[in-house]
Amino acid sequence: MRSLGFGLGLRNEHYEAMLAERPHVDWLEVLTENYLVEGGKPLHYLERMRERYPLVMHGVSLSIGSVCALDRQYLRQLKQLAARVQPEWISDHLCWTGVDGINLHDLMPLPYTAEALRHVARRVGQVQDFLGRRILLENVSSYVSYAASELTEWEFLAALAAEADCDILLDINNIYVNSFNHGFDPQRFIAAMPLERVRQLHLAGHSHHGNYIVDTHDAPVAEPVWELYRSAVQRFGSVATMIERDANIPALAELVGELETARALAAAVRAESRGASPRASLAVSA
Amino acid sequence: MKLRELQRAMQAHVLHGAQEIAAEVLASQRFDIPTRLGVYGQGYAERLVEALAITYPAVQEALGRASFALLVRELAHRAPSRSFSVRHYGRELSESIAMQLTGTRGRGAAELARFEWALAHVFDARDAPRMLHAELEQLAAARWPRLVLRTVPAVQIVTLTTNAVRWWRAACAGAPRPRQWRSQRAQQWLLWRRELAVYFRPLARDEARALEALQQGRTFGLLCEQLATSATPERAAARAATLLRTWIEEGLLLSLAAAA
Repeated sequence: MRSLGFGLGLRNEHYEAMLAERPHVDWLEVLTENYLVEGGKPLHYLERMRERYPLVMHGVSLSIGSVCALDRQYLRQLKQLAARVQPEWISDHLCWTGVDGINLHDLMPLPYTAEALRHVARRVGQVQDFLGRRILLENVSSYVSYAASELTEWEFLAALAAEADCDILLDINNIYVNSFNHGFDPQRFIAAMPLERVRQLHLAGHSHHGNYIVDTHDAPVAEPVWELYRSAVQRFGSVATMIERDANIPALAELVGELETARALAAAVRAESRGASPRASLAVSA
Repeated sequence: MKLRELQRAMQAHVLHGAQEIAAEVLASQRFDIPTRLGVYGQGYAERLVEALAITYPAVQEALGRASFALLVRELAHRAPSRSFSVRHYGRELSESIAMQLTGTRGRGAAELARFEWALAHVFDARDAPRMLHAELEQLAAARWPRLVLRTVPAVQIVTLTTNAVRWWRAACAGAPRPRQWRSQRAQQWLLWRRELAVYFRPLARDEARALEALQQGRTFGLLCEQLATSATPERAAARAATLLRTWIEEGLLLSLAAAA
């Protein structure tokens, strides 16, 4: 399958810079909810980006794991936006965001149980049938694990992808954050992912609080995450990779610089795997 | 605990600090259960404070970050979001302010919130083709009395009884705050978007009434009659022509073809 290459999460702070600077970015990920509006600046810039870059849509409100009914209005608007954007793919998160009509605007973790697996797989099927396409689901950072869980997170995600016939957006930072918070080997997560279903990788930063890590997406990619990315490239090869920054947004050039680091690292890992160079070094910017 | 009960218990913890979920969560020595759950409980309010600071930058500036955060936290727990987009959350902030802050400060800050909410809606209201002078020039004279003009979706009228707009201007310019919140005669403000830029200006009374008539679907003939109640017929006709020209130039009116 063709890889999109190396992309960025589009943020409104960078609209003008993206157009003026034409940075070395292969594709853009747009936040679905930012464009579920009727008009004005968001849709204006979305159109202009669409003329220049391949786009993928990334949502936060599908609430695929919620026990409450899927939000049909949201799905209708999502489908309308997809018809307008013609994204390469649509993704959201493996989580729930609220019950009883409430939206906590957070990516709440699921228990990894057979009951949850059946429930989520059924809903993924409903969403994919409605949209007429496969979706990608992203692993989320979490701070609790439930006593009820019968599977590991990676077993649950792999089983869901197979059961629901959906694809995977693997957030490398989130794997690292969870490995620290819940005490597992992140390599086990990488190793358990089905190669054919991982279509996109996220790289992001986090906030280290000493005894736990919060996934803030507000800082440069941390060194252990780059190291894990190395393993991901070794396993998944040329999968579309992007830098995701959600807060403390820096100048566009800084994010493009991080993307160059990802490009160089991926190229080095691939060369190394062909036996063409010594072990890829981490060219992580300070 | 079944999935449904677990999600309800977790949500009750985030919204109200309920502790039932704690028994369902695994602990570790270095990361205890209260800290784990606290990431969600604290993060919930913090996220909404951040989101509403984007919608209400001048309210935050006027009240100060701490007071603003307290107001949003109270709202977040009393009236959680029911929208799939956080962009649509927070309309009730104005009422929250009016309930919790007293006197002219409370009324002024509540009006400032209403003003910023309206600005946010003008910002991403539906695009629509605006009327051009040529459309009216081609209109047969006989059609004018029954002509119904409509405003584009990105038009709002807000009535303010305080100097809230001065506070807004100061906050946006990074200028010193006005010395105090002050009551003043009720003033209607027109907010609109032309292309991507958002504008606002105070409305004269007759213009405010005329725009309201327009939004109620009244004909141009009735609008002229309304203007004539406070002016001679000649002056009313001249005023109607001036208003029409201004509205077209400002991009307030919907193209007749789109309105049909």
